[in-house]
Amino acid sequence: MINLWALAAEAEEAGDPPNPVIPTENEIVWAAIFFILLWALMKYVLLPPIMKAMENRSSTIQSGKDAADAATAALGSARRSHEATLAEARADASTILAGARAAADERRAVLQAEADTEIAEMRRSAQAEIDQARADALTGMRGDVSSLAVGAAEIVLGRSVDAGSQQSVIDQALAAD
Amino acid sequence: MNLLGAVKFPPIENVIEWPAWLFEDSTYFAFNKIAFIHFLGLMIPVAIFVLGARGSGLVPRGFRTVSEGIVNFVDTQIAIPGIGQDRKPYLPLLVSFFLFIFIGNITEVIPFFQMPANARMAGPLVLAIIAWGMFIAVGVRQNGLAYFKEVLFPPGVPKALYVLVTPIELLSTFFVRPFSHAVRLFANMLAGHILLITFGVLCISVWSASGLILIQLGTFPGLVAFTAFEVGVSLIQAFVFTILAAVYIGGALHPAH
Amino acid sequence: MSVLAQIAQEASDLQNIEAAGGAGMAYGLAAIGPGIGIGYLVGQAVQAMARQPESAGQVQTTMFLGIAFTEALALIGFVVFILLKFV
Repeated sequence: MINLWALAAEAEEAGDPPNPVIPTENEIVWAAIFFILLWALMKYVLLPPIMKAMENRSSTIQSGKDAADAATAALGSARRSHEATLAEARADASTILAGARAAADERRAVLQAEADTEIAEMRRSAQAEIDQARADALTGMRGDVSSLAVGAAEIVLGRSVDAGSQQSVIDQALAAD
Repeated sequence: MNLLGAVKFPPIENVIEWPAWLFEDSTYFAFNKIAFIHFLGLMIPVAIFVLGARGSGLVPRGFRTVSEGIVNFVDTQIAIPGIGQDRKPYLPLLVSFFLFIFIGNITEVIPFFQMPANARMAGPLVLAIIAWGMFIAVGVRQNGLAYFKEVLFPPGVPKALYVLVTPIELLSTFFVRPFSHAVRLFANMLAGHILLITFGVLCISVWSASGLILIQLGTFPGLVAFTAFEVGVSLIQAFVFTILAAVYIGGALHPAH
Repeated sequence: MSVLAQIAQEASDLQNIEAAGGAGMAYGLAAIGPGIGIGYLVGQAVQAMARQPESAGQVQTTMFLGIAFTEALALIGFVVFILLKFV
């Protein structure tokens, strides 16, 4: 019997199908040439200026950032000193105010005390005057009442009444008032 | 094979192999579309960076923004997570990887090209071998021959386990790694390419067979959606390849981790 | 001779069909594990990002790395598919 598989293999041999997985020499050569050329150019010609520019830029940005940080720090310290000055001034103002208030209070207390003593003095002198007047009035009235009573008694009794002997009775009556 | 009757998928060699434009007879220097895409992968980054280098001053504009954006992206998203702070010497390699691979991928969706250069094994293999040589060189330069000892006999493993660990580490680090690194990119782009071709073929077949307009309502939006998806895949695969290279280099720099 | 050629053609077709079936099986099986793995990985990454949005960038980078490692298995399956189907 004929070996079918051998025949099939021969039939395929005639067409010589390429193996799609095996690389071909010319493509290997060209790929290697172009890639190695690209690598060498990239390493020595193309990349260094780009890298340098990028590094320059990043260092510029970094220095700018540092300067901004320093400026921010300076701003912070200026603000702090400003705030400290402000707080000092505020404290001064409050001490001055407190001093003034204390002085005013003191002055007011002094004035008040003076006014109080004056008022008390005036009240006392007025009281003294009133007492004096009352004593005067009492004295005057006593004389008048005794003479009036003696007169009335003389009229009633028809005789002279000894004013001296009646004086004590009148005094008693007035005191009873 | 042809369940849909009119749908005829082209042979695989028709969609990934391209005839030479220059040096047709040479085995090693035949210049075809793939080589041209790799050439663009060299020229477009050079143009962007040369135009970008002209502008100076504090505020970047124009091409300067593009080039600085690329460098910044590779630096912050790939180099720092992958390598760490001592990443500066490896940045050119990573930027080159990223741009070269991205341009090789994005031609998948660009008219006239419609072919990712990385869907051929050659480009990814070359890049992976360069990354492999780079990380071994970095490891040896940084740690001397102790680098191999660190990798093959990782500290903190019981001595008896070295029988198991050392062959695995040897295979996975020094033999499988470049291939998995290359195949990851290659297979992704080839799969995307075949996916787009499948939808394109389906659209054309359905369009020429009138009366199937209802199917067209499904296939054409599918083609558009997968084209958009492949743009994302191009970017992500370039990113993944580059960050894996960065991680390998970082691992060689600090083998103790 | 034409009969022989026809037999050979049929044998070739048969081999193609077997290869296609094997290729489809290979890729389908290879896609199961990575599918589960990537789903789990991305789910965990989303959870991590939702818990700590400030570390989203780092999580995303690590997530892409993990996806790349997990996906490699599916891609090797895809390569096996290509090898079985087209070689």
